Amino acid sequence: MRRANPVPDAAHRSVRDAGREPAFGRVSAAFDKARQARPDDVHESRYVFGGRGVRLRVIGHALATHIMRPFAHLQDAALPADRVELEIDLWDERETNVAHPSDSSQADLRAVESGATGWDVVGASDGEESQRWRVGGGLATSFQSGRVFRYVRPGAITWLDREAGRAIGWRASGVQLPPQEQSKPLPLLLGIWYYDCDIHVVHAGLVAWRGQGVLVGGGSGAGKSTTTLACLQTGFEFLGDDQCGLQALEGGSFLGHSLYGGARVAPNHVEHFPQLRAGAGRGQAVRDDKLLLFPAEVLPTQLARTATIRAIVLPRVATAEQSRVRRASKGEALLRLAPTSLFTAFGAGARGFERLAQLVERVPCFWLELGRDIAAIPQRVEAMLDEGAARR
Amino acid sequence: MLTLQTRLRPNDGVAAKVFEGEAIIINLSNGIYYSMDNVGALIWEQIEAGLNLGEIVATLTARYDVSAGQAQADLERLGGELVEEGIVQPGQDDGSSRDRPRSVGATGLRYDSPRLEIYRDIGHLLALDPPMPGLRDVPWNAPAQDAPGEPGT
Repeated sequence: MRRANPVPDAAHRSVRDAGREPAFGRVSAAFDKARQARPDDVHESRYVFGGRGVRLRVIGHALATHIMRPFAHLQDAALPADRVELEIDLWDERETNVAHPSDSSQADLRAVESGATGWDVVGASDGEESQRWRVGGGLATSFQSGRVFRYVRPGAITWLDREAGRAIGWRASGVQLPPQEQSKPLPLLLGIWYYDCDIHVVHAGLVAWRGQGVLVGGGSGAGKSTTTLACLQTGFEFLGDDQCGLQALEGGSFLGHSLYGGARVAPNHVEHFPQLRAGAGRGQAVRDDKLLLFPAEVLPTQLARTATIRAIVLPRVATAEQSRVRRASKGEALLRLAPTSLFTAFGAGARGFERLAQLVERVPCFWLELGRDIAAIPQRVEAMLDEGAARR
Repeated sequence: MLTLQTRLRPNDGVAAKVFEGEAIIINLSNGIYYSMDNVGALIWEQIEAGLNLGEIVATLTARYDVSAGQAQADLERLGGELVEEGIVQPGQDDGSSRDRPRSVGATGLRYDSPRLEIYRDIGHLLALDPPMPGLRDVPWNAPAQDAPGEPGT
């Protein structure tokens, strides 16, 4: 097991920071300054991410509300300090009047906020970075041969020290977070941290019945959210509608981890999920076409952190009245799961492909042709789970 | 030009898996992915095993109801497509020892010319915002971990 990083006191931290990229220490000092500026606005919780302890501290109420909400179902108030393996510290400049320290990230920030192209050459270089990439509207830089990683996007700078297990982030304003950060905060940095924990982030939903999971694969619009939310309505546990963590276990089986508690649904689709409709008012419109819901706030007992994966289902929208199930070949399943999981920024590459191939080989795979009888979907998924469990 | 002495080698950044008679191939460097079934999947296995094209033709004629000329023409066409797509690169057979599966199994099977199915949907998206880094681009050796067992087992 990876060594736990106990939350250090200030003296220990200064020693531990000594080996980091120098700017990391300055950002850490800025966070401490923000904390001192608003001691009554420090929001702290402990969680279990992928089976490991995480402490999240956020300075600023609005920022804390948005960042902590998608992780609420992973909270573990009883987690002891010495089990914390990742510390995430974020502050809101608008609330604290503490800016990000002046370093090479400022030039990157100006570049991404101006929409300049050719970001691989703009921005000040302090001569310490290893590599830089333009990723998803932002600029990623690695330092110290990959130990320290920084991601800059408009209004946000976040650092990760992979060895120390610490992330620190500045946000210009907690009330102006982009929709992506409200539904899936810190995706790049958490993806790297999960990978270091040998958990691969895959583009698939995950539901479970008493800890036995069904991975729901397919591209955007295939029906992953419809399938997972329909199952949630009838008592299944919900672990994610389009992203989860995949971990290989000794003995060849696979554990799926919930990463985020939100689900995105088309507004005209909410009517199919009456239990969730109650929480829809508390959701927020994200992007143009989807509503962000948090099932944990309506059905708190049906959110799970982990499940052993027993089957794979590949939904696709059909025009028929009744939903139908038929077996999918291993190749069909891998073709639907691998590309959208691997071809993302900092995807798991060949190692991720091999892991998905092993999973596909191990469990039964099914097509689920989604008809108009959405209420019948859970029965179909249950039958798949029965078959998967029988093959254990 | 491909000859019977040519040996095709998968390029770095190409990941593949064959199961149930279907080969799934992914070019991790550009987001394009492929599939081949039956005859094509067998050919891919033989390429991965390091056989030259002449040896692969011999395998095909032993297993399938196909002439050597037809098998060679199909193989050269398919090999050319694989090279063009950047999945493999051609090299001359140096005669070095390698794993050469000789077991043919069933014989006289129905032959269908191999076909490479190409999926460019994600590759087109990636082309809009290159380069897309992978985690192999930020290598870093995390502390050693013990693989956990399944809960409750």
